[in-house]
Amino acid sequence: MIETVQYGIMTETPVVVAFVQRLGPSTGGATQGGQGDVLLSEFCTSGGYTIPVFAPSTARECHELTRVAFEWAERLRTPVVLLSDKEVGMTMEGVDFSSLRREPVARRRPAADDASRFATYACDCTEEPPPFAAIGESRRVVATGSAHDSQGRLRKNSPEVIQQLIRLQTKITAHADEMALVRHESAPGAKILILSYGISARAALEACRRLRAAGREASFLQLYTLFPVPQSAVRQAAAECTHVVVAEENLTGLYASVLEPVLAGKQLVRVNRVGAMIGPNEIVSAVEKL
Amino acid sequence: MASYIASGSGVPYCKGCGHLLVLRALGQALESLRLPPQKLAVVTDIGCVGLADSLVLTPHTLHTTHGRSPAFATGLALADSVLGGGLKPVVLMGDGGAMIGVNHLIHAALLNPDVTVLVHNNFLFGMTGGQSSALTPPEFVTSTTPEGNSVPPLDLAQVMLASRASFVARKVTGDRDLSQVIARAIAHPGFALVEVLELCTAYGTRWNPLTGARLREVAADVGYELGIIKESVRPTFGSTYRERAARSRSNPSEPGVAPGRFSGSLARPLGVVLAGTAGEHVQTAARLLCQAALWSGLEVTQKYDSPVTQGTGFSVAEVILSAEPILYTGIHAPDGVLVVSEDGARELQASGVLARVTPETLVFADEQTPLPQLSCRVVRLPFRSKAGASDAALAAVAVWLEKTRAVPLESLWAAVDARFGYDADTVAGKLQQMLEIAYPRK
Repeated sequence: MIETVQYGIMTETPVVVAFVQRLGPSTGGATQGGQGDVLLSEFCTSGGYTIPVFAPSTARECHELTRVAFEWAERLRTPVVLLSDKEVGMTMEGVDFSSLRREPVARRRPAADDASRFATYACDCTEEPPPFAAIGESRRVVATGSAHDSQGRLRKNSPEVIQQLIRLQTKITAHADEMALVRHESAPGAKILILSYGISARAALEACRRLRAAGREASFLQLYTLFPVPQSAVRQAAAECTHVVVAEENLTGLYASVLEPVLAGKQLVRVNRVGAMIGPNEIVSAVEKL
Repeated sequence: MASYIASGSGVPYCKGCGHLLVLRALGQALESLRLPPQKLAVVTDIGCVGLADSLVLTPHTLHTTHGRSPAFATGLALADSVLGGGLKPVVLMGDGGAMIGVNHLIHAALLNPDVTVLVHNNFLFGMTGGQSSALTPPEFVTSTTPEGNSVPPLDLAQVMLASRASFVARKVTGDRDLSQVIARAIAHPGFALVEVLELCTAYGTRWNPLTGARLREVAADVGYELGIIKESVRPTFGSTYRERAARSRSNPSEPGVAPGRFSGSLARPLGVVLAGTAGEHVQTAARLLCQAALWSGLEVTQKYDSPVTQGTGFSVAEVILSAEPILYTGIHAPDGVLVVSEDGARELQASGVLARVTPETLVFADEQTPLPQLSCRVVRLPFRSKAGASDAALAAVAVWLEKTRAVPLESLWAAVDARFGYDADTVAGKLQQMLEIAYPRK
C-alpha cells in the first residue's frame, strides 16, 4: 500500500484506499478489531505530505464518507484513506437506502482541448491539481513517480521541481477547513469534552448520554476527518473545557498524540484498549475519576 | 516519417549499452507499424531502462515503480478497453524488474491485456552497481557474486508459457530481425513478452568474458530457447470484461421491502447472543431475526464471530434490537442467549458471555448441550432433534420471539418466506412444531 500511495501523491492520481484495521502487530488477530493504523495511514509517505483520512463509525457513514473520499480524491487528484476497522466493516446494520446521496461524484477538472499547450503537471494555481488528460487521448501525457517539472520531465533540485513538490501539499492544506467533518454535541457549561472517532465514537456518545442521565454533563466531539487535523473544530469544541477525554482502540493513544499540541493547556485523558472494543463503561469511569 | 524514439546526442546510456540497441529496434518497429502516437504508451520500470522516457518523443510515457510496470500497463490497457480502445502500452523493464515483479508478469500474462513487455536482460542490476538478479547465468560474475553465480537462472520464457502468455519470444540484441519481432509482438492482440539478451558494458562485460557475439552462446549454455517461442490468439481481458459487463445487470438490486411493514415496539434495547456450530445456519437465523426487526421498524446490528477457519467449530452471532439508533454495538449483559450446540456453548464460556448473564437473562438451550450452572433461567428444548441441526438456531429464535414479543412473530414468518422460497413451508412447519413443544396449548 505504502509504495502505491506515495506514487499516487507524486503522479497526482486519485486513489481511495479502504483501510479496514484489525488487531496488530503483524498478522495480529483474525476477525478482531483495532484502531492501530491511524498514524500509519497518515504518515506512510516520505516528505511530510498530508493524506486526507476519513473515519466512519456506522454502515451509513461508510457510504457517506466513501462518497466524500472519492470527491476529494477526484477534486485534488490525491490518495485518500477511508479508515474503518473490523467492527465497522463486519457489523451489519439497517440503513435507509432511499435517503443516501447516489448521484455520481464530480470528476476531476479536465484539460482544455488545445493539445499543443498541454503539459501534464502545469497548473495555474498552487491550491489545485493540474487539469487532467487521459493517456490515449490527443494531449500527450508524461507521467512519473519521480520528482519532475511541469512537463513531467525528471529533474534534480530545480526551483520548478521544488515548486511542484510544495504544491502537492498546499493543494491539500488550502482545503483543510472545507474537508473538516465533525459531529459536535455541546453540553452547556460542561468542563469535559469526550472526543473519539471510528468505532470508539459510538461508545463515546453512549457514555456521554449515560453521564448526562446521571447528572454529569460532558460535551461530545466525533471526528469524521482525522487528517488534515480539524484543528479549529477541535479547539472550538474544547474551548470551555478543562479536560479532553480521547477514546481510541490502540495501546498508547495514537491520535491523542496528534491532538496534544492542538489542545495545549487542556488536560488530555487517554482511554485506550487493545483486543476488544472500548465500552461506554470504561469512558464513563474515566470521566467519573476526574 | 514521424520519429517515435530519439537517438543521437543526450542519450543517458553507457557506450555499447544493450538498452540503446533495443530502443533503436523499438523505434524501427513503431515506425513500421505506423501507429498514431497518441495510441501508444511507453511504460517504464525502474533502473537504467527507466531513463528511456526522456528518449520517447511522441507517445505517452508513464514512469512507474520497480517491478510493477506490467501491472500499471495492464491497468492502462483495461481502462482504455472500457473507455475507448486502441491503446497499445509497451513496457520497458530490466531483468531486475522482472525478478522483483515476476508475480505482476504472471498475472498480466494470465489476464492477457493488449500489453507488450520488453525485458532488457543484461543479467544484473546495472544502475545500482551490478548486483545479481534471478536471471543471472551460472558462473556469471557480479558485485554480489564475485566468485561467480552459483544459482541457476529463472527461465522467464518458460514462466510466461506456464502463465499462458499468448506471445513469447527471446532474442539477442545482435539479431537482424529484432525490430520485426518487436513489431510482431506489439501488433499481437494480447499479452506479449519479448526477452532480449543484451550487454551491460558498465559491469557485465567488465567482469565477464562477454561480447555481443557471445550472447547466443550464453543462451545455449543455459538451455534458453531463442526466437518466437509461442504465438497464439485468445480473447483479451478487456474484451471479455466489456462483453460480460454488458450482459450483467446495469444497476445493483434495490432492497425489496421497506421498513414498517409490521409494527414492533420495544421499551428498551435488547441484546441477544446466538451460538452454535459453523455451517448450521446460526448467522442465517440471526439475519432473519434482524430482517424481521427491520420490517417491524426497529434498528438492528448483527455481529458475527467464528474461528479463523469458516466451516468448522463455533459460530456466534450478536444481535441488538432497538427502537432508537444503536450506538455501542457490543453486548455487555445479554438479555437473551440461544445455544444450540456444544461448540457454541464452549465458545460462550471461553469468551465470557456466560459469565456476564444476569438474573434477568433468558437462556434457551438445546436439551443435549452441556452448560455450566448459570444465575438465570435456562429453558431446555429439543431444538436439534426436532428442528434438525441446520434449523435449530432459527427454531430457538422463534421460541425466543414468542416469549419476548420483541417483534411480531408474523415478521419472522415473512423473513423465512423471503429467505427459503419453496422450502419456506417446510422450515415454517418445523418452527411451528417447536413452538408447540415449547408452549403447549392447554
